Amino acid sequence: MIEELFKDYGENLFRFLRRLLGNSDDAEDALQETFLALTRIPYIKEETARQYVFKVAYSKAMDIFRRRSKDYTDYTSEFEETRYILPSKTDTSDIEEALKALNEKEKTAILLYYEDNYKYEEVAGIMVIPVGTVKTLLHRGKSKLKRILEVESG
Amino acid sequence: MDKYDELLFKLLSEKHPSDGEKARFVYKRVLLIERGRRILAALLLISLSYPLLYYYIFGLPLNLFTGIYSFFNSIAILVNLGLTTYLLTLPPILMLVLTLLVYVFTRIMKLNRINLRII
Repeated sequence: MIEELFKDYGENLFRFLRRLLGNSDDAEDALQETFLALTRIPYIKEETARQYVFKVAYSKAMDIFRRRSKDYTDYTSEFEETRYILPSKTDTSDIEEALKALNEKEKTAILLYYEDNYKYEEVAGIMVIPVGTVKTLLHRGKSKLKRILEVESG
Repeated sequence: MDKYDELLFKLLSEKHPSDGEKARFVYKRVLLIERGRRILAALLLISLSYPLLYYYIFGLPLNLFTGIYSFFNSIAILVNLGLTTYLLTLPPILMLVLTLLVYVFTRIMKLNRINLRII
């Protein structure tokens, strides 16, 4: 079971965790914790497996955020002040850099919605928050990213 | 969906080449940890069930009980001997420790240039 889960979601999970946590080392730890937790679960329904795996990964990432909360610096205000002016040809690394300006909930919502193509309801299920809050987080996160990247949405 | 949404969908769905490799490395590590955990669990189970199996096959190990009893007896003798020796040598040891403490204390006072009025 674990092999199938890894084949289906391993890479996507790692990418999600790397972007959410901001570095590869923490992402590796979170992914390891996720798969170790999944090995202890006897059975996962196929229909909900994708959502369930991301839910476990999200909770592990939150554990890491909590662990480093003392050293964690909120860059939001800093980014708001400096207003990153990037060239109009924005690439993935710019987005990843800009994502660091968002708080963990906004980042999670943005990543799940845009990166992994989850619906509002599924994002809400993973984050255990109401759908309305997901929409608010997405809107807020997108506005912040827009401000940081200075991209004209036409 | 505006242009910016499309841009986010496009950029965030792009794959980084090293992600898959790192994920595979983590997966191998997880498998190794899991295998180790299983081996340890099996060893623990064997070590816990061994006395039961022994009792089931051979009955009560009376020799072992006698051995443990005599071992504790010898320990008791050793403890008594040790305690007596300790009590006999206690005053000289205390004197030595006290002298050492005074020496260390005066050294600290001198090194830190502390002058106590009583000294």
